[in-house]
Amino acid sequence: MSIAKRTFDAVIVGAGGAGLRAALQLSEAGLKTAVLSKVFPTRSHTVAAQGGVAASLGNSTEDHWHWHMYDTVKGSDWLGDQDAIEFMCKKANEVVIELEHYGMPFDRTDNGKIYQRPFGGHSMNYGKSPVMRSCAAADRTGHAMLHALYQRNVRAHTQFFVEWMALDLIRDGDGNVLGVTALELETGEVSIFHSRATIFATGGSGRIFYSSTNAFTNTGDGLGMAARAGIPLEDMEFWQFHPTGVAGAGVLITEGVRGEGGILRNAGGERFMERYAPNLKDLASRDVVSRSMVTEINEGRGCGHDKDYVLLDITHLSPEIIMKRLPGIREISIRFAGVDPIKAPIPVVPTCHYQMGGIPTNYKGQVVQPKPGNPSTPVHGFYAAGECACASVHGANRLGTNSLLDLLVFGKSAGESVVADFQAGQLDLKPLPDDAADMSLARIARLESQKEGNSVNDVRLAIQRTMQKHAGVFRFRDLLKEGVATILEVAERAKATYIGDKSKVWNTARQEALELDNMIEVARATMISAEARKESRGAHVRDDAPDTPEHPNGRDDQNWLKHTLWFSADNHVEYKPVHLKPLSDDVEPIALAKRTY
Amino acid sequence: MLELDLVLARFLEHEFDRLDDEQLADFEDLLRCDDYDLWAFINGNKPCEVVRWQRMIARLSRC
Repeated sequence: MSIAKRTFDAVIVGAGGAGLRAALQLSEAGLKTAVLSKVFPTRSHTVAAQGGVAASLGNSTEDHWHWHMYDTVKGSDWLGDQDAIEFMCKKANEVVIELEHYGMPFDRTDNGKIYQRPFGGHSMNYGKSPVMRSCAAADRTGHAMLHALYQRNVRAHTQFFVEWMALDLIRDGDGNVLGVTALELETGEVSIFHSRATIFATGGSGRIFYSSTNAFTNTGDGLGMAARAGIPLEDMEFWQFHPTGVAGAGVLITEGVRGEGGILRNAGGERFMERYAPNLKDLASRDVVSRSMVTEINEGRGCGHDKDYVLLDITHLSPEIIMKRLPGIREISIRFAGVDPIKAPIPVVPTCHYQMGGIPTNYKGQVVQPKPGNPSTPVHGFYAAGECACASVHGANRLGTNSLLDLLVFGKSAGESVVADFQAGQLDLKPLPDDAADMSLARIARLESQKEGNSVNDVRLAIQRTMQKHAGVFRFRDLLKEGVATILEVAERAKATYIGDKSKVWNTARQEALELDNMIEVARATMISAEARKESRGAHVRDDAPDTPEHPNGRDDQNWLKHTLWFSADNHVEYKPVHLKPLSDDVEPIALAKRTY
Repeated sequence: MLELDLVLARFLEHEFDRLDDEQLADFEDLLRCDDYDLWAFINGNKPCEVVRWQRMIARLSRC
């Protein structure tokens, strides 16, 4: 079967902040650049980022990138690579000022500088006191960033392929990456995008969890494509959760509700946080509240038919207070939970928010994989940036406002690497193998020919419920073991999905079936990596690795200070060392310590 | 953004097939708005000044 082929110097998959920043670097350098996106660029999930972007500008309080680096290493629970973290923190001011020059409407101080606000986990003088480091555009920082970068790309003649879904990575027999296959959603036609360089910037994969703050587009497409092409996925056991998302919808209920007097209750109406945090109760830290909620659910005190959520109760507050101070929350509750919180409690569950792991890269944005003698050998022609990548700057836990910084710094860095490799003559256009599109065509052909099988919705729900129950915010040894067996069973069901609609034009059923192939890769990676890591670290907290004098916070540096690499072909895991040495002599390594705040 | 995904998914499931050509054109025009503006219209936090969109927004806000 002959299929259309398009040729570019570089193809970028994903048009969120990382993809747009990388594209800009390439197009402004004169490279013929294509960006593929399932949605219009300014609708990418970066749009949801509100808090800001971290940079030690020192406009509002004294600051230094050394302090930012310290906070980031500590926040990562020492799993972050210190060379990449140094690179990111050092580059932060540069990329923020660039963005300002692109027209990003940052909030301003009285003297016209970029206004900076404080954010959790960020400090001055190595944890001594809070610092104002977050540069924001009101509460729409991601939205403003996307618009600034998109407009700049239009000016630079970046070619956008909007409502195109990349299907598979194309590699030759030597492992070189030669582009992607992609599906035009409007026509249902498959094309080959042949390129000298391929950059993945596909964002997160939070839809693998039953409760997620992620938009519907976040199905882990880049991770799925990389995994099927033999690239391992790194540190996939680490996911950040927010305690109060609306059950079944995932929309966030801000901590401010508990600040106004909201109380968490179990099925018996008990204010259970009194048992877990007698002093702070419902206002304990996010991780403590989330783990307490999960313990209630796992011990059978959850609410509803499936006993899989708890209740956030503000019915004791007067309607006037709710209407005055929490109108948005009331709106969300009525719309997404069908509950007026003036009259009844809101069903909530800890909700998946951010993926710390991803496609392994170095600080240059080059995708790396282990080879004999080098655990981080660059894959020729392949780069990644943003939430889909693992540089690794977030390690076991991400600090707020470092996600937007990550996508700016490493989006630019990946672009710079491609330009440098291109100008050095190292990115020749290698010939496509004869079977370049075979895997994609076979996937589509299966969906077209399958007369019966498993519903995509049912399998997706099975993935989401399995991940939520077995690899959620608080992990239990037995549940993890069961979870591995269950997710492997679900993976078998995913091989035999069936869609009734065989049409080509705007066939969303087919798109969802193809996305499911990516979700199951991410789900397997997460479950198997989580079961394998026998310590608690950052966002990965196990009941059988508690806080002890020998292992503070349950962390076991002697055995587990290492990155996980999961391989799709046989589900095996390998490990590689954490980079404890910074990139330069400008800063001392941040020595291992207990993570306390 | 997730909030819009959820509302639009419900709309597509329950309302979309009942739109006539004129309403469909209004819906497509409305989708050109920024996510935050569209969400504010649906929530009632921001008035929509385009009169011909107001009925469509009312239908969306019921989803």
